[in-house]
Amino acid sequence: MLNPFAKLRRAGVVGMNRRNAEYVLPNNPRKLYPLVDDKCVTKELALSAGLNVPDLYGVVRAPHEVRRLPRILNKQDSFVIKPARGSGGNGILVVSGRLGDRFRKPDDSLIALDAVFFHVSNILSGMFSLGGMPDKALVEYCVRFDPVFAEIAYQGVPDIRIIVYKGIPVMAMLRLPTRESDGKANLHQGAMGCGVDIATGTTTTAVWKNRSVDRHPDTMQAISGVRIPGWKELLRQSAMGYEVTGLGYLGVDFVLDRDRGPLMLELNARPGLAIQVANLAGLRPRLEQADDVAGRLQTNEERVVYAMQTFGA
Amino acid sequence: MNKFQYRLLVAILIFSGFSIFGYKVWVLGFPFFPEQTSPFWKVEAHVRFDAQDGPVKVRLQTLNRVPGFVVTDEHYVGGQFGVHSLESDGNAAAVWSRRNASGKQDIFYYAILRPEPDAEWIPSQNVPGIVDPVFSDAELTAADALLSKAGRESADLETFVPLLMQALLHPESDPNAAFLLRETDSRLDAVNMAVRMLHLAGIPAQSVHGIMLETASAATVRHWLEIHDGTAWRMFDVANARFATPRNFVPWWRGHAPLLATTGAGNPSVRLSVVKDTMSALGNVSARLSSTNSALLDYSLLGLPVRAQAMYHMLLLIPVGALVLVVLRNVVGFSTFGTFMPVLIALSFRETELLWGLGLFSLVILLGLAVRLYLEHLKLLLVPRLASVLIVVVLLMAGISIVSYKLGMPRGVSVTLFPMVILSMTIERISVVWDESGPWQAIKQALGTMGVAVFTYLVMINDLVGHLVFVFPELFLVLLAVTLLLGRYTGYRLLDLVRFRAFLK
Repeated sequence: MLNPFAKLRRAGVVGMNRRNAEYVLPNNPRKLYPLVDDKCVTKELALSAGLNVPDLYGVVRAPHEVRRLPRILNKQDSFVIKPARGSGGNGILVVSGRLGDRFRKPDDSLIALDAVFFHVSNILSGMFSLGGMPDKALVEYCVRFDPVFAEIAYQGVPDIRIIVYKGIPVMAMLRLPTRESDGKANLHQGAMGCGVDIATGTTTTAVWKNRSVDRHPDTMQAISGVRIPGWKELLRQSAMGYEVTGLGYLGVDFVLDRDRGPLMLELNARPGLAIQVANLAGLRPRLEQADDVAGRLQTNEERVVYAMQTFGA
Repeated sequence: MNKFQYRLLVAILIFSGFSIFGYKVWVLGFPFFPEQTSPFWKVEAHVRFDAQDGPVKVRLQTLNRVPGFVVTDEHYVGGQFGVHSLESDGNAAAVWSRRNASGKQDIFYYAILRPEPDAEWIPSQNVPGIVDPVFSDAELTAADALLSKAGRESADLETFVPLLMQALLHPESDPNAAFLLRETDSRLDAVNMAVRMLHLAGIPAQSVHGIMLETASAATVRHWLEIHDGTAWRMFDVANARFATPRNFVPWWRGHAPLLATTGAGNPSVRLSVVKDTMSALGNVSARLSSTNSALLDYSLLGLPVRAQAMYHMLLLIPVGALVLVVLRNVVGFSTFGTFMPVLIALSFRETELLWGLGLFSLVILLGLAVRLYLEHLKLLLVPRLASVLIVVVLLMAGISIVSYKLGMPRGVSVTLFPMVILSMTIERISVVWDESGPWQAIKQALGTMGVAVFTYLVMINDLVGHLVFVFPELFLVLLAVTLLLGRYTGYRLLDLVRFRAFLK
């Protein structure tokens, strides 16, 4: 084939230019961005709409509030501290338990309360936020991962990203941290992306470092065929992200909790395009189909049913 | 988003940009290429005479309106003589005078003739009229005889004028002509006599005297007759005895006056010389237009003071750089630190030259990055941290300047040309990316930024580009249109092929 782009076009791959010009710019008004940029705001919105999110134990908004931290932490054995405007999973401190005065991290190292204070101060100074803006620190429920991914996850937090276009879930992927990604779930940092069948919630293809693979590089377990429990509920919740924010082109990130089911972690107004690589399928045909029917589907339920019927593998 | 409006806007921008551009290139003759030269002619009249210890007055015909040419840079060099120029009967003249002069004198008149593009001979615009030739009775009889002889032997104006001119140029063969030109043997007088006789015959005529445009150190004055045939002025070439359209002929003056008239001067002589020269076509156009007080030039960048022009030579490159950047980012898919940083770096490369610029830039960035990574340990707040990096950058620049200067590399001083605030922000951005996405990502983006800066630089130092934007700023309308088009470009980027290479198998 002389034109190398023809293959991309046939596959319906959406490039960065098209995503911005045809999907993000027309569907995501700038004024709605603050709703998803600040996790505090997102969380309040989600709660009011009945979305499941990790419980918020407390927020530290300014340096003088750092001394309130012991009171917030007192009641909890495990918790997560994260910046409200963080990006790429930076600045997240996970505490899985206590040992006397000190806190235990998932890798079994111990840190003192002082170190926690320091971490919060760094968050407040904007060290982890986009553009270095002063930030808030959230103290949240620490997710207990559903054992469904135990065999195909290496450390870190596997999460599920669903692209929701005009309220219709169009594509989903499961992001699995690897040894190489250092527990992070970003594909360009070496995490693994698995396509997820919208109809059933079963993992399909997988891509690691831009190569198709069928086994997890660290655990050597087969990737495909893992069924995500409560899939329809997950889709329903992701579709609610649209109702809550009004953003027409949205990435919704979930984690699965052992006890509480899917918890929505964050919303993204400019979700990346790597999801297409994970699914080995272009977004464009699905987005165009969704465009055709978006006006007719009134309720969340209808949109989810439509998605499951239409975008199945 | 209104698609029609968008397309209309783009079409209008492109159309107006290109039409102004085309008008300037093809009608006004602005050069398309920077090195284009155009010819012009330097004309000099050298007057010599011996002053005779008394008042001297020298009157020299000078160039007035010359069809097909613009006369510029006229100089009247007369040493201790006072000079004034005057204009009468459509002729221009310079008069040098002095109360008391003695010895040999030299007076010069210089002018530059710039050909207009596609200029053709423009016939005289004078209204034809018959004036009384003022002949005495005897002259009238001789003239009548000459006219009727020529009239008998000719059929029309086309044959009549050469016969008449023939008789007057060779008066020895005809007693009537010999009588009429009894006091003179100059060609000028013969031509003027022809004009008087034509008027006597009721044919409007006037004489034109000028030079041929060909390099000559002693150009001879050529004479032409302008004869009105009832509908238009026609040119009669006296030297070749035929009607023709003058080519390369520069009319110097019209009528019966001599080229040089003197009082109180002995042995006056005038020598005309013509030299062909070339100059940059742009200078030629602007000199030509400014002598005609063209508003287009007055209200263009060429009408600005030279210092401001130099400034704009640089400023106008920024939009070009921005367009290159848009292409490299949105069509090719490079990712860079900061949106327009590569353009600014490229601008400073212009001053430092490429290799020095690259070296100094990398040096400052590397040293600054080292300091920044150390500052990371101190856990400083954002703004103080940025300020510290800025201070360190300035110190580094000063240090590099001093060390390289002392080492005998004065080029290193040009490091001051880098925008230091931009440098500090770059260092900050690199270190943030370093922290968040790892060193590889940071190095990749830094190299991308450098690559884009180098590419932008190469486009911006292109002579043709610099020339086009400065002389034809209207092309920015086209540039804007292209940028608007790119603003709605939704196709793939070149690097999408890498990003989505999993699909290519």
